[in-house]
Amino acid sequence: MTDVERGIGPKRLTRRALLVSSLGVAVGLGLAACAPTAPAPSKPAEPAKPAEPAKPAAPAQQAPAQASKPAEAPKPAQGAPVLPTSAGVAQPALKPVGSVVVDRPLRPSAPNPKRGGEIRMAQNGTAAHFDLAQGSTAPTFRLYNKLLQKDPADGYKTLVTDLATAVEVAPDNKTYTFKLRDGVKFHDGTPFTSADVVASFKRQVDPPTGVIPTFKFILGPISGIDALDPMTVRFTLSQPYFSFLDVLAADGPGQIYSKKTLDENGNDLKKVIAPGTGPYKFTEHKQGEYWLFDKYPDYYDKELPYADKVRWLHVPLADDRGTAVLTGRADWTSNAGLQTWLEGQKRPDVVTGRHTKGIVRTAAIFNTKHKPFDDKRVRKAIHLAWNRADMSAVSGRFEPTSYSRWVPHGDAFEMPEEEIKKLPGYQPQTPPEVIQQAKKLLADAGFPDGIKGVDFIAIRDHYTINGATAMQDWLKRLLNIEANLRPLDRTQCLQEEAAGNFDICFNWKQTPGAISDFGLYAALAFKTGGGNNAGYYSNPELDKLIDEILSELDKEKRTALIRKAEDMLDEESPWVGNGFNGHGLFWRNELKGMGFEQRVFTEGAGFEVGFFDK
Amino acid sequence: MRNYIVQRLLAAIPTIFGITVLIFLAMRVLPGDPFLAVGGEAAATVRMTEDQIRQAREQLGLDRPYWQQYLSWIGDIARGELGRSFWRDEPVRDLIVRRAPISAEIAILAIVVAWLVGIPIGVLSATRTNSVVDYIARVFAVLFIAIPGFWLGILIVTALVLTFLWRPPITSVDLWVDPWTNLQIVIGPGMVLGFGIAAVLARFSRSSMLEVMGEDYVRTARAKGLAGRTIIWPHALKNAMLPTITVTGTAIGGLLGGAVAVETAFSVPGLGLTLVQALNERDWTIVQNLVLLYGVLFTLVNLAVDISYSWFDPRIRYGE
Repeated sequence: MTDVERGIGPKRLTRRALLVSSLGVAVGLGLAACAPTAPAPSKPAEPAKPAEPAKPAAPAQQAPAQASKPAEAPKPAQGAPVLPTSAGVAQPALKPVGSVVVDRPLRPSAPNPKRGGEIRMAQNGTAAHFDLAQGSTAPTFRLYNKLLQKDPADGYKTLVTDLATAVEVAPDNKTYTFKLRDGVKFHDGTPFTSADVVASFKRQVDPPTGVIPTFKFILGPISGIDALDPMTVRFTLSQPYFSFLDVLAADGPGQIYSKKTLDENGNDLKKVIAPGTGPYKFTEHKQGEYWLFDKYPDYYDKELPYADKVRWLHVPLADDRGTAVLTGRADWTSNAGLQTWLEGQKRPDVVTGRHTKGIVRTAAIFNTKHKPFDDKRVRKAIHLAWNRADMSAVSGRFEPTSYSRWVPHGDAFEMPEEEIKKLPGYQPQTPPEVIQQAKKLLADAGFPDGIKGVDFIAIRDHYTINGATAMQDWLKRLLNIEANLRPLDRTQCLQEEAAGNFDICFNWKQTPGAISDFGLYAALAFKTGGGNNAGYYSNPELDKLIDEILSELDKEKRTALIRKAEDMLDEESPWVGNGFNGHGLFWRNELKGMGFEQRVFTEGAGFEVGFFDK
Repeated sequence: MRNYIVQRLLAAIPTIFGITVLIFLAMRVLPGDPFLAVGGEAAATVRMTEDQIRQAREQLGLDRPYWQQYLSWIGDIARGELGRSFWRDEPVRDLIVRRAPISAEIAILAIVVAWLVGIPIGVLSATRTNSVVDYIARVFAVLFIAIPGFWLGILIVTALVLTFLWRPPITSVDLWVDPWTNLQIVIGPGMVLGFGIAAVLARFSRSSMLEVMGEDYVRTARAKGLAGRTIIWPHALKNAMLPTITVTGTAIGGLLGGAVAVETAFSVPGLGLTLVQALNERDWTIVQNLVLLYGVLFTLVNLAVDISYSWFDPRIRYGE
């Protein structure tokens, strides 16, 4: 110890006191701020106010829900045929061709709805632009109505009316005439008419310069849209189209904008948050933070919505969404991270979680223009050897992965899981004889010792890159295929994919508009020149089959066609992949009415029938 | 002094010009076409045709030569507009004005924490060389230098959620609107970043103090019978502060970068998170302006650090 240090010695306590005080202040501040007491709500994100019982709605065409008795059951009006969606697993029949749909209001899935409060959803909420028809990811869907909508009360299995009160289908299944709802007004006061419907769809079907309609493909069969009178609109199709009504009810292509707004903006709404007719109107947007929507007092259904406000919180990470719900910062999310979702299962008094089906599928896409993947024997070898159990275990660490073939799990046309598991290439654990069969196929294709130098690209997000790494490993171990993995940023990966600079691309794909329909999925992914056909796969026989599937309306015939296409895809294997991804639906117990318990597929909607029951 | 400041400000102009050129070119040279972001989620589903991409380029003025695009951006900066978000048309200036305060609060809090914790620990460590206190202080320093801030942030958030079912608010609130909620947002990242810098400061202030304590004037002060506290605080510490000031200045630059990861870990809607989102969306205008802002701030901080030397060490004179 030096003299100086010794000289300082007598003042030791004072310095320590200083140090302790400094640390004490810092730690004290930290503890005070992080104290587990109920935090003061932030002004812009205050929790739901105590809900008041809903008052009976003004007499209207819909029966009002009353606080004193259960809300109107989600059943169709007497004698009214109901159109099931193509994913309507609970529905015994398909679209009743030539029938008429009558008005049926949305109602909550739980009794005794109460009014008031703010529903806060945690989800990804950024958007490059605001035009939903041009692929915007902005959560502005509920600012708008569609002609038809899916009913949250039965888990979105059924199509019910929205801005259309009735639809008449011609015997040839190529003309659909919609009667429109009278007295509806846009949030800026403009009355809704058939001209708005025509303008909303025409810009997608026949886009003017500068408009890039994301859903043009799925609206493809529309050959004419005509306003017969201010309250009647007619769609003419070039061929019968199985998913037509689902497309009209889909978020993105289905939203109705006002002709006035479209005219004012040259049909391009990328920079405009346009007024809609929906239950909520736009109030505030803080990019990268939240969207705030207020109840639209002149909404056509006087019973709805129950909550005064909707706040869509931008929470990009799935586990963060889970913690937001667990801690009461948000009321629900349609896709919580698996770890926080599992944590929620331990706290049933606070939150409830279910897994819903997704229509997104992560797959290895083969570039069929590149050797050796132009040889279907090589592709099929990989399909046969694909280790479902291992790959599902990897992806299941992030999102539940369903056991499916080429049709989304939960879809009406899905092959039962037990049957799928018996098929070669789909066994939970690949049997040795199937591995041998795969190796023989490789040998027949001229690769008895495996393949080297495969260019393997994948998006560098945690979900995709882990699956890709696992695939790289088992390709080497089981088939001696050496793949050089190139992890890429999402836009880079899409760019490389679009340019065909890959041998295998591990990526996720879905149907635009979140519609569960094999016909649409296959047309985009596997049809020659399909917008999603990243591997340049081409098979005229399959192309013809897909066209038949798209226009076939009979369930049995359509099922048979889909099975045939699935067999063909197994044989040709343009892609191999896991089942469709599921999602962790997660909500606070006090939030009711949104049909969470009944949902089959992942949906980000249903706010207007949600209410708090504390 | 005034001449020196003017000279330094003039010298900063080519630096900032270099930043603008580099970031402008980087955004255009780096792979990843921004037009693939226009379709959002559907971009993975439907590819834009060549014709659609050409139309979009025209709309955004990206069909013009690079030099025209660059001058247009510089013109926006000169007018104080900073341009508009690539697709949304939101003024970048508004975005910065809205989000900068929370990042600034975190930076200030981090510096305050770093000084309050790091300097006393460094001094204590220097005046108790090789004692238990010194060892503890050195372990603290090495530990917090080694632990990445974002990892510590994730750990803190996870612990709070699992233990108390509590996490920081998700949306930003201005300090003057709701100080309590605001504190809950900034305290986590502020402490995490602050402890990281405190660890570095503790190391520097310890070695600096040890050096100063061996100087003649300290020995003279001791010989004159000055009390230990009087020797340390007004004499030794003030002279030992120069390296600390330099480190603090560098740390502020590091805070700008480090805050990106820590803000993401805590989901704090500050400038760091904005930059990450803008990069993901390939929103060139936002990225360019934020990087420029960081560059200007870093230049100014360095200038402020240099100027502060003369206050701490009267022997230093500028421009005289």
